[in-house]
Amino acid sequence: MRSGEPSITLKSSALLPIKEKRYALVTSHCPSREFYSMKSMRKNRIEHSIEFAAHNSLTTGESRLPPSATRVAEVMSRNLVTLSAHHTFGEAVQLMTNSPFRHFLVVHADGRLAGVFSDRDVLRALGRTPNWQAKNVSGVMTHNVFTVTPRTPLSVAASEMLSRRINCLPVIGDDGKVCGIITSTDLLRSYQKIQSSLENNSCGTNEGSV
Amino acid sequence: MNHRNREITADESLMAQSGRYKSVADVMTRKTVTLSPHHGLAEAVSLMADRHFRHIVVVETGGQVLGVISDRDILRTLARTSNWQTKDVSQIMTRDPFTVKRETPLSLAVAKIVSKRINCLPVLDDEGKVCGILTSTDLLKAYQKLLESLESNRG
Repeated sequence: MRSGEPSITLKSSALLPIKEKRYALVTSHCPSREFYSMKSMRKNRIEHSIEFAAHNSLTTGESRLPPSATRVAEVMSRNLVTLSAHHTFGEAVQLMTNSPFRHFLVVHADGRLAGVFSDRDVLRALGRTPNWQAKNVSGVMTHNVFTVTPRTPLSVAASEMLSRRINCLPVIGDDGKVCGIITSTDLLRSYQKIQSSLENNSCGTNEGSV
Repeated sequence: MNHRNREITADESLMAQSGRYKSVADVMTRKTVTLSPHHGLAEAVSLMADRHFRHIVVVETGGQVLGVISDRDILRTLARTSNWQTKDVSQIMTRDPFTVKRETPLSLAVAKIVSKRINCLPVLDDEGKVCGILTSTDLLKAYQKLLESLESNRG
C-alpha cells in the first residue's frame, strides 16, 4: 500500500458496524492510509453501508493531477550512516571515500543530532588545515542545523534547501532523535516521477515517455 | 538571490503560475557566463565566489562546449596541490559533459542529473553551441513551484 496513491478517502471515522469482523478501522483525513477488508478487496467493491467521499483533484476542474508525494516521510531515507562528534577527521574522510553518500549526520550517543557535514566541508578543511589529522569531526561539521520532521511538507523542505543553499536536511522524529535524512537528490527523484507522469498526461497518452 | 540574468516570457509566467513546466527551455538559465579553457583557476574561483555559482561551462571560441568545472573540482584541487594558482581551467574541468537541448523534456533532464550524479547540464542549440545551463538548483526551484501549485489545488 503506497502512501498518497489511492484516490478515495473513506469519510466515516468509526469502526464500521459490519457483520464481517475483519472489516478494518477506517480513518478520515488520511488520504495516504486507506484500509479495506480482504473481503471487499477480493470482491472489488465497497460495502453500501460505508459512506465515502471522492477526495480527488479531478473534481476541481483542473487537468488530471497524478497522485504524488507531499511530505518528507514519503521521500526520506531511513537507512543512515552516522558518526559521533568524537570520531576523527581521518575516519570521516575514509567514510566519505568508501560511501556513495555526500552528507553525513553526526549524532550523540542517545540519538539526538549533533551536526552535519558534507563532502564539500571535508574538502574545504583538507584545503585549509595543515594538521587536519589532529582534528575531529566536531571541528568540521556544521553545528546549528536546520531540520525537518516526517510530516513537514515537501514544498517547505525544498524551499528551505534553496534559501539556505544546502542539500541535506536531517529528519527528527517525535522523540527528538534523528530518524532519517532527506537530500536534494531525494527531492529530484520524487520530481522525476511526477514530472514524467505530467508530461505523459499532457501528451494524451499513457504509454511510455516522450 | 538568483544572480543570473534571466528573461521571462509571457508563456513562462503563465506556466510558472500553474507550476507546469515541460521542457528544459522553461527552466534553464539563458544568459550564462562561460570560461575559456585557458582561464586560470583563480579566475574560476573568484567568479564562483562573486556570483554564487557552483558550475561554470567551459567553451571554445566558437561556443562549442568543452567541459564543465564545478566548485567540487576546485576544492579537490585545492586539497591536493599547493601550486593550484598555476593551473588553468582545462586541467581541472570535466571534459565531454552530459548535455541537453532546449526541447529535452524536463523528466529526462532530471533523470540524467540523478542517474549520472551530476548537478549541471549545459544546454546546446542545434549547432551544438552552448545557449544556456540547467542545474539541479533550477530543477529544485521548478519542483518547489509545482509542489506549491499542487498544494493549493488540493486545498
